Amino acid sequence: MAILEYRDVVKSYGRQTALDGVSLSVEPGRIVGLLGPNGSGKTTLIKLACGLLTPSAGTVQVCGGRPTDPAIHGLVSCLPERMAVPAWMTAEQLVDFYQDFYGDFRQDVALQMLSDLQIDPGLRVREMSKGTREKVQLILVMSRAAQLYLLDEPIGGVDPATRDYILSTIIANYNPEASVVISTHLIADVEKMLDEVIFLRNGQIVLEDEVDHLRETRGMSVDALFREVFKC
Amino acid sequence: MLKKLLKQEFLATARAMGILYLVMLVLAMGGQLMVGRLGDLGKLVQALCLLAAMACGLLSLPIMIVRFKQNLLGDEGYLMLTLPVSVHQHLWSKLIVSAAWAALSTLMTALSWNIILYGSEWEDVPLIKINDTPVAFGNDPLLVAELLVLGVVGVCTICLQFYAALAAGHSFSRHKMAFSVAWFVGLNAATSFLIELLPSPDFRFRVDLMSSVHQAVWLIIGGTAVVGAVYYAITVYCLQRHLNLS
Repeated sequence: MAILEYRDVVKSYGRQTALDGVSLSVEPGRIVGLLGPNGSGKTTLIKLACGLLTPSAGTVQVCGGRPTDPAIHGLVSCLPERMAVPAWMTAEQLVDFYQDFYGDFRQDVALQMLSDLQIDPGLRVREMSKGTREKVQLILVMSRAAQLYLLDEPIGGVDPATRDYILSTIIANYNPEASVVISTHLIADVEKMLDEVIFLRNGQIVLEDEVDHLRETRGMSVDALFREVFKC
Repeated sequence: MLKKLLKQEFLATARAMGILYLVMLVLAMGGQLMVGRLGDLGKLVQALCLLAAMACGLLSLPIMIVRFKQNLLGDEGYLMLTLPVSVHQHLWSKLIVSAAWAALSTLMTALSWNIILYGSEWEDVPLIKINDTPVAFGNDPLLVAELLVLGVVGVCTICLQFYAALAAGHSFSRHKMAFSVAWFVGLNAATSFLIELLPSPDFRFRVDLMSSVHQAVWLIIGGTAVVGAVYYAITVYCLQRHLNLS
């Protein structure tokens, strides 16, 4: 059974259509890249799976249930594009917060990662740099042993060294039986960790394939293929 | 999960409320210092301190309403609305905390006033009159309890009106606050209109005034609760079906 499934999903914001008849499924244990230019519908797809949006048409199923079901929220770990953690909280309070609400949260892993990155647990979010906040948010999300990880632009807006750390953290800490969906427009950095890629343009899927198969048949990297497909 | 949400709500709001109460106590001490000093100017300062303390007490409601907007409809909504918690639990946690802070703010206002007015001339237990017959609050514990219930239900309903307007307004992609204001005005107008349509209850204030007063209070509690329930339903519907975080 697919861990994430979209069937003929349409999502409109007033007169603007963000997703136009999208159908796709993600099997357990896969790392999938959701790739596309700005405004292609990547974030809308992620938000639908997180239960933060309801589709205008079609259905979304996550772990066999509705994404808005609180029980399903307990199986899915979401990293939003935005800084969602309260600014007044310290890193330690955030760890306690996640420990409180999520039964699959691994507090020891989170504290170890904070220590590895030399992030003071007593530091408030509002006192952290942008990169540090992104790292803290990612640590919290990846410290859960979830069945599905939904990461929206996890490496956008941070320096290359931080990007490498974030990507290695994703690989090192995610549950191997789980699936990971990464939405990004920075292809070169994530390509090496992906099993599958989905290209989105104007709310529609233009390409969906295994990364290895793409490289073999097209004779180019996913990054190069992306540039060709989305050439201006 | 509700207990955990309540814990987080109290933690998140305690700092702002603590500062508010500190200001109220400072105003109270300032007002008390004016007792018997500086003549009319002193009385004016006392009066201003009384008003300022009351205003601080009333501020707890806007603080809770802003908290709802920031926590569920702002960026924090990406975290809060993906917790393994239902929308109902979110709403109840915020309502319970709002009612608790409103009750504490009422006590703090009363305490501030007592401090300000201590040692000066002040009236005894306030009386209200119905049909020119005085009704004393202090002699009827049941009435006090009923008024407390009305206070709690009233605070929750006021909060829910704001929540419903904000939730509905923020379901739009643009001009969210403008739509929220429009929804608030619309809900207000609709509620007033429907209340006007209702027949006036026939209260005959007989010799036993208090039973009529009790009836009236329970009728108001019931009506307020019904209005609150409608606002609750609107809020839940918007958060469950029309959530549109930026």
